[in-house]
Order: sequence, then C-alpha cells, then structure tokens
Amino acid sequence: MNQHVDELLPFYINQALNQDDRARVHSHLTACAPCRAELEGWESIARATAAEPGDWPVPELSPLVYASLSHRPSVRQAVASAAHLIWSQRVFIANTWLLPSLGSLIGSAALVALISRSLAENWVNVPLFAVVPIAAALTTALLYTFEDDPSGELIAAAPTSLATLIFARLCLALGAIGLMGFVGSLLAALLGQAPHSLFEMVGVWLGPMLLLSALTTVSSLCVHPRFAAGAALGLWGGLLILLLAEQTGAPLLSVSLLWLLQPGWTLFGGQALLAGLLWLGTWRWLSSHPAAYLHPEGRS
Amino acid sequence: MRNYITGVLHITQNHAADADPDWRLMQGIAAQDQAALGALYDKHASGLLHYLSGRLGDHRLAEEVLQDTMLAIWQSARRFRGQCQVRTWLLTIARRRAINAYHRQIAPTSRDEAFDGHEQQTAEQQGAPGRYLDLNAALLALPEAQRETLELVFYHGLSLGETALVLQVAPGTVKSRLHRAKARLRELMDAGE
Repeated sequence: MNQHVDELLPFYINQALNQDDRARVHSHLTACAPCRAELEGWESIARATAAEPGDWPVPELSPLVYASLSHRPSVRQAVASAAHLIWSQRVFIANTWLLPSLGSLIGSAALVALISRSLAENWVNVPLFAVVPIAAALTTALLYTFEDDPSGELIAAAPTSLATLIFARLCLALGAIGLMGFVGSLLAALLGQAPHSLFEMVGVWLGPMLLLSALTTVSSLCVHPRFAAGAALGLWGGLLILLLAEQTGAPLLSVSLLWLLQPGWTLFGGQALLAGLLWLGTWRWLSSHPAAYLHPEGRS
Repeated sequence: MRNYITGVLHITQNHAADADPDWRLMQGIAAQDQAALGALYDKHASGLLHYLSGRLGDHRLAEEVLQDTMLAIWQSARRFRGQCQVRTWLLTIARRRAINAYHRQIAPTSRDEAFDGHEQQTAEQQGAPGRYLDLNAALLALPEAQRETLELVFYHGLSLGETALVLQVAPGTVKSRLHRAKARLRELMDAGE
C-alpha cells in the first residue's frame, strides 16, 4: 500500500483533491487491492459522518443582527476597542525577556546620565540617546516572530486585521519603552542640574526612537526581522561610534554630528514626521497585501 | 504558529477567488449590501449551525454564535481577499466565535484545550473496545478533535489545507487525526471479534 496515497483517500472521497492528485490516486487504486479496502473503510466513515443527526431547522437571521449592521461605534466605543486590543497584546511583552531587559538597559542609561553630567554638559543626553532608540528598534523588529504567537487565531477571529494587530503591538512596545525613557529623563532632570528642560531632554531620544523604529518596521516586514535587527544595530552602532569619537575630541569625520544631541523642535518634528509617513505607508501596504507578509516566499 | 499559517496559505493558494461561487456575495457584503449577507446566510447557515452545535453541544447557544458569526462576517468582509474559499473562512470565524462563547458561558475557567486540540478522554468518556455495533454511535465516542476533523472533511467537504486552516493546526496534524480516528473506530467496533 502506498503511504502517500493512503493519506489522500479521505480527500479523494470528498472530491477535494486537485486533478493531478485525483488522477494519481485513481490510477493507483486500480492496481492496489489493500488501498481499495482502505477506501471502502473511509467510505463507510464518510457516509456515517455525513448522516450524523443534527440537521435542525435554521432560524432566520436575527433582526438584532440586521439592526447592528448599520450601527456605527461612537468615538468612545472605538477608543475603548482600540485600548482593549492594545492591552490584549501585553502577553507579547510580559511573556518574554523583553521588558526586564529593556528596563535594565534604560535604567542603566539613566544612571549613567546622572553620573556623566558632572563631566560635560553634552554628555547628559548621550546614555539615553544611545540606548532608547536601539532598544525600541530591536523590539520593533520582533513584533511578529515569537514562537507560539497567538496572532493567527486573533486574525482568524475577525474583525482584527494583520495591520491592526501589528500596530497595536507597536503602540504597546513603543509606549512601554518610551515610558521607561521618560522616567530616565525625569530622574536625570530632577536629581541633577539639568542644562535643558525635561521636554527638551526627552526630545533628544524620542525623535531618533521613532525614526529608527519606523525604519526597522519597514525593513522587518519587507525583508526579514533578523535583517532589520542587524541593520538597526549596525546603523545605530556606527552613528554612536562617530558621535563618541567627536565627543572625546578625536572626530572620525570632517562634519560635526553633535547637533544630533542638541535639543531642537525642528529636528524632532522632522524625525517624527518622517517616522509617521513610513508607518502610514506600511499600514497601507499591509492592508492591501496581507498575504504577501504571511506567505513564506514573501518573507524569508 | 507563523509556520503553519504560511504553510496552510500556501496549500490553499490554488483557490482563485473568481472560482469561488460565494465570491460575488462577499463582494456585495463588503459593499454593505444586506441582501448579500442574507443570501450568504441562507446558503451556509445550515452547515454552520451543524458545525457549531457539534462543537458546543448546546443548540440554543449554537444559534446565538451563528448570529454573532454573521455580524463578524459583515464587519470584516472588506478584508476578505479570496485567499481561501468563503466557506472555509466562515467556518474559521465560526470556530473562533464558538471558542469565545464556550469560555464565556460553558467553561469560563478552562482554556482552548477543553474545546479543541485535546484528543485525550477520561476512562468514563472512552468507549470500551468492541462495544459498538453501529458506526454512527462509535463516531460519538471519538475524542472531540478527531470527530471535528472527520466532520470538516466528510460533512463540509474541506480539503486538507482548508481543514488545517479552520483547525489552526499543521496539515500533518490533520492527517494524523484522521488516521487515529479511523484506527480508533476500528478498535471500538472490531475488538470483540
């Protein structure tokens, strides 16, 4: 008996095989008595299953359902629904190493910020600038790669789309990391003689965090999460080396990059705007090509 | 999880949307046509109700979940892109809605294993070998996951990939469940001979 043909027999009976497989099974059955006996066994099971009791009268589609079709949720309901979806993805952070690791990293950066500010004014912004954006980018790269990811079932349970799910996770992850960064900046501002206001200090790392995360989102979805994580590490690591070399008086480039560490609303606005455009484009692409993202040939 | 989603999607790619007789109805629903929803309901309600009743074991609750499923279909029809047959998509949504209802109303403290996937039964639930002379009765003694798989294949006529998509398992799991169901039925009916 051919093992592969044996597995196809149930689908030969319910006529769900494609033409090639059907012809192959049909041809095999004419020459294989054990498989014909197997087929008879499956046919008995198929008849019994199809004849199972339970064909009750079907009710009409409920008037309540029809009444709900034209119902539009209020702004409050929509906000509550979005908040619920984002909160439902907390398992993404809580069940992994992510939150404690990032908390430690950003806490350490805040501590270093407090210590180093006594050395030079510019140093106070360096630790959080160095850690928060890359922490956010690495998290972003891993938005949809964990084992036992329940997202498939959530998507199947409609009306949650893949784009909605990914951006809910993005909001949660960036919100958590942003909050940790904010606490770090707050400590630095409260415990030391801060040269800038709290919001200026936040802006120094928040802009790069948004832009680097947006770039990582795009590369993670278009190429591969591992590529995105590697590219973000390379890009950010290279930039930090250049900045630190310049800070210590041994610049590697003839052009100064220290303006990246100076608070400025124009710089922050530009970074946030570019990040927003990248995410908007990603949302539209995901909404129109969900299968391209899920399909193995489209991802890896 | 991603692996079986991608695998199943790969298997079901050959279902071109325009070859699906329900595709036009889905387009109508996506365009907010209530008559199209009614037509889809008329066509598939019986099969969905049979499926839901079998899973939930409560006909009244199954009727409620069926209405809930139709509302979910209306809300998400715009996102249906014909990557699987409409019938498969309806069953997938109905199954998730049934699991939600099961947790909410029947076994609020249990997890999915009680509803799906579990193929182990207590000694009391297991039929004694050779006890059944009637195949229909023996079918009822099968573990829920095996009976559900048989129903999707032989009652609803789904392909291997479609069955895997509805059950959210790998195609290989569908094959092994079918194989174990057949072996178990044989055991239940023939052991005394």
